[in-house]
Amino acid sequence: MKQLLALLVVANLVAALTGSEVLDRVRAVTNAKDRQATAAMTITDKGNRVQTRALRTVMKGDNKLMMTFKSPADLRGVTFLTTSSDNMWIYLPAQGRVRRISGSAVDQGFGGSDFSFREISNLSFADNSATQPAESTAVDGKPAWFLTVKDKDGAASRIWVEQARYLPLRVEKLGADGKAKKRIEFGDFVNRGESWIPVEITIHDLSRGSRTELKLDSLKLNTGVKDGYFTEANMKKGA
Amino acid sequence: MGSNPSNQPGPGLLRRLGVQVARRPSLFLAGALAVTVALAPFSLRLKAEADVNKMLPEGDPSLSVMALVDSEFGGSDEVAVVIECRDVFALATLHAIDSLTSALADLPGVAEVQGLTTLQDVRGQGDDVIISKVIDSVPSDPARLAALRSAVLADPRYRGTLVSADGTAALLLARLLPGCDKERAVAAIVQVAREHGSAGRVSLSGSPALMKFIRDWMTSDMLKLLPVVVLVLVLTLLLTFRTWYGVLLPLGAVLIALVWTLGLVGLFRQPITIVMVVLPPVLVSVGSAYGIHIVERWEHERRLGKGPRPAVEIAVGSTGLPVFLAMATTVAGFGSNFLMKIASIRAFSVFSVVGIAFSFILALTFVPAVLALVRRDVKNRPDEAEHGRRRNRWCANWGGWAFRHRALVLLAGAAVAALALAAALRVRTETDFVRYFKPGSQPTRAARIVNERFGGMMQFEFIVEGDIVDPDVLERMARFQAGLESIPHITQVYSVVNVLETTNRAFNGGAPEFERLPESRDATAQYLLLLSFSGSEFLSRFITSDYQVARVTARFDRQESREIAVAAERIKSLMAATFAGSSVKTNVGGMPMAVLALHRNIQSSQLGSVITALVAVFLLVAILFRCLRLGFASLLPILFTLAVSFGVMGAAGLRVDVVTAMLGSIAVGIGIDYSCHLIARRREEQAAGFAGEELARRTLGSVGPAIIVNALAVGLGFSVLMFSSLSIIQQFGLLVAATMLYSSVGALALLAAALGGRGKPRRQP
Repeated sequence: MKQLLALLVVANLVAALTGSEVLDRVRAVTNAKDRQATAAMTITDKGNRVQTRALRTVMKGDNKLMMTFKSPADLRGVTFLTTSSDNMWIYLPAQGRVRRISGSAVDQGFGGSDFSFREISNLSFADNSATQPAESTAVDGKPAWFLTVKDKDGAASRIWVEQARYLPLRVEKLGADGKAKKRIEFGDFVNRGESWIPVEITIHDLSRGSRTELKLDSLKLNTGVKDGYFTEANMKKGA
Repeated sequence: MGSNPSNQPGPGLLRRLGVQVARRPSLFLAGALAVTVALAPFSLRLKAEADVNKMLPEGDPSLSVMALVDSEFGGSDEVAVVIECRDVFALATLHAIDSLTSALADLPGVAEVQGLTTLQDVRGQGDDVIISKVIDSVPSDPARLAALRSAVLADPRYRGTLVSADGTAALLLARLLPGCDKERAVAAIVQVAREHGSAGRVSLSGSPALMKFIRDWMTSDMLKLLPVVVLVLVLTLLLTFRTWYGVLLPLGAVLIALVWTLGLVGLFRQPITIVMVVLPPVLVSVGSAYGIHIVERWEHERRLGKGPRPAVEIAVGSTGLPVFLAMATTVAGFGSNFLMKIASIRAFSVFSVVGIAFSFILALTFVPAVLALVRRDVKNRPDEAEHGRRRNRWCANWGGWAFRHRALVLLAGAAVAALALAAALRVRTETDFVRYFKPGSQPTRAARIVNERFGGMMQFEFIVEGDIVDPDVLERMARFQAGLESIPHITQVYSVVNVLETTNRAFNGGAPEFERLPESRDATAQYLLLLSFSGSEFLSRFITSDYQVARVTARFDRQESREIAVAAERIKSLMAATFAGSSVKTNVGGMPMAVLALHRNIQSSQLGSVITALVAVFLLVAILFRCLRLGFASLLPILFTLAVSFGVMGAAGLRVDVVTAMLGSIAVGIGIDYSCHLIARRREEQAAGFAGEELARRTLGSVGPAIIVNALAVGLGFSVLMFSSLSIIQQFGLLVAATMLYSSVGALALLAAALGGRGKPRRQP
């Protein structure tokens, strides 16, 4: 296995890839038709106050996502559903109602964390395109590709990708001034079939000084989740 | 100030110093040069500072609340950008405001800009909860513009908050990042505002902007006023001496003392505050007198035929003691300001004492060291002699008249003091820092607009610590806010309570009856989670992420500390009543409380510092002249001066502020000099055997002109401060200048009359 990896590295060095090719390979290895998991979210604010939340997540493709809070007690049953970037619903058990959330300011944060909803639902860089050729570099001693990408709204990010397996190691979201605003670190990937999924993700909000860790457990991939699962009725059931 | 050394107590040390300076002038000059070279570079480190919070003592409760707001809620320092125009809702104006808002938001040091085009809102529409900006994009067609105008002006959240009720002025609030370089951030805001003049007439207010203006104007004052003070001193010295050394030596000594003092200020990294800005004029005006006395005495001895070096020995040995007494009493007066609880006044106290001591040391070393090297003969100038004789005659006549009518003089003095005291009772402390500026200046005007049309510039900060999502706590907070709104001048009360009420209404289809707090803890927690979608900024300004600390803000549309004091009393009662029996902890702070703390610190410590100064000068005079009666008598003109000074302030409606708070102790410290001169001279005449009216005539005839010239020189030096850009400095300069008049009149009339002609003649003239 080690020899194979070494060969892959040498091969990569010999034939440098474009940024788009690297990004395509990242999408290919991190992709799954659907995924289900329980997640432990630990939010640490700049004053080192820690909040923990337990969630259940069900995701299909790049757009359909349902997340249900299991704890703390006062949030138990709160469910978010998104079926596209413009369609987002919330169910609040205390009100017994589902409401569609819309507006220009709905994608700023998720559940008090440093993740935006888009960041949490799109870790495979589906709507990103590379703007420059990939450069060879190293992260923690591992050979890595460094590339700059832009999403469909023109927001730029810097990505470091492990050369051996094309797994994202680190992402920096850049502000309009070109400075990093958020840093996402991926750790501990698990392999299910052809997919490598990060089960530990930490996001640092560099301007606020806070961070959020997301740890996935009981990860299941490609179990055949139906489109009809993502409904108001299932939201109220608490997924 | 001529004094016979043999008649003065304890001049041995000074005599020895005089001998050493006369023998080794080069050594003393080299020493002065070495210290100047060592300290001068540090004077380049000086940095202006005008932050009102830095004036408060560490541990002041208002500071701890501000620190909490900075660390937990992103700070409260806001620059208010006021845009005056014909119609805020005109298309071009809205675009210009939007462009200005974006440009401000992009500036380093600016955390966010709150304005019409950035304000976020949560509203309900059918089954939708819409979280968006109030104006997502500027509408282009007239109908939508008109609709926007109607909607915004009908909504109390925007009308009188971000847009004036008549739609002719808009307000942008640029919140600065805690810990950023505020001066640089405000400078960038000023630049951007200047570049966006098309939006209308743009002016700035808010404490960071006012602090920047104060800093800039202080710096310009330092550079502008010092040369004028020096010029006044040069003219005074020219008229007095008409020799190069008579002008250059007292001036040089005091300028070197200034360089040393400012060097130490820089070395200890002390900021130049609004109080410290008066230090250079004070040092030049007060400190120059010591060198003048030495030069005068040296010239006197030279005229009597002494050589330059023997004249130096006598000048230092005999004049040194009265100069020491003048310095010591001034140090006592200035040093008593150290008892004030305001950091910048304490710093002024320390460095003014150090500066006065340096001036004294240089007057007794540098000045005579140069004089020892002067070979030129000193001759009497006939015209000057005649002029001097006339002055002396006039003063002697006045001394005789005051002696004969001493009861009348004392009665008149008492009557004036009594009248003045009655007026002095009207003097009030006022720490409103908009009063630092001249009426009609841009900062004053902008502050008035924000106060009158946007609900006020200053913001109270209330901290509630406890289980905030507990419905009982939220209900108490709501009651507290309602109570706050009933207090005069409090406007725009806001907290997470308002956010939750708005969200509850939005989640229930926008029905007005749901504009109330959610009923359960779970509902509250879930609404807060929903709001997290709009980004933590929306919530984090008002509640911490663990929901254990909440912030309530309330604007105040006045700036006067007296008005704040009235509101603060009601707030504290309201707070105690509303949260009684609850487990939450509450605290109040914010800029109004900082201004109030400053007000109270001045009130509580000003009298103490004046009394300390009086006791110190009494002890100095009584000990050095070895006479308790003289100690008490020396206080008479000072008490008269204090009464008249504060009486004039009361009659003119002037307020005691952070600078004029030092007036009393400075008046004591400088004004006592005239009494000391008079007492010392009177002792000499007594020793010469004079008594009765003749004693009074000779005392006043000899020392009177010197006192008048000294008071004029110091008074003129201080009156230069009326050219300051800042109203607070102008007032201080004129008040101290007037104080010199009162204290010299006090000495020449009241003290002369009080001392009468008692004395045992040792020899008949």
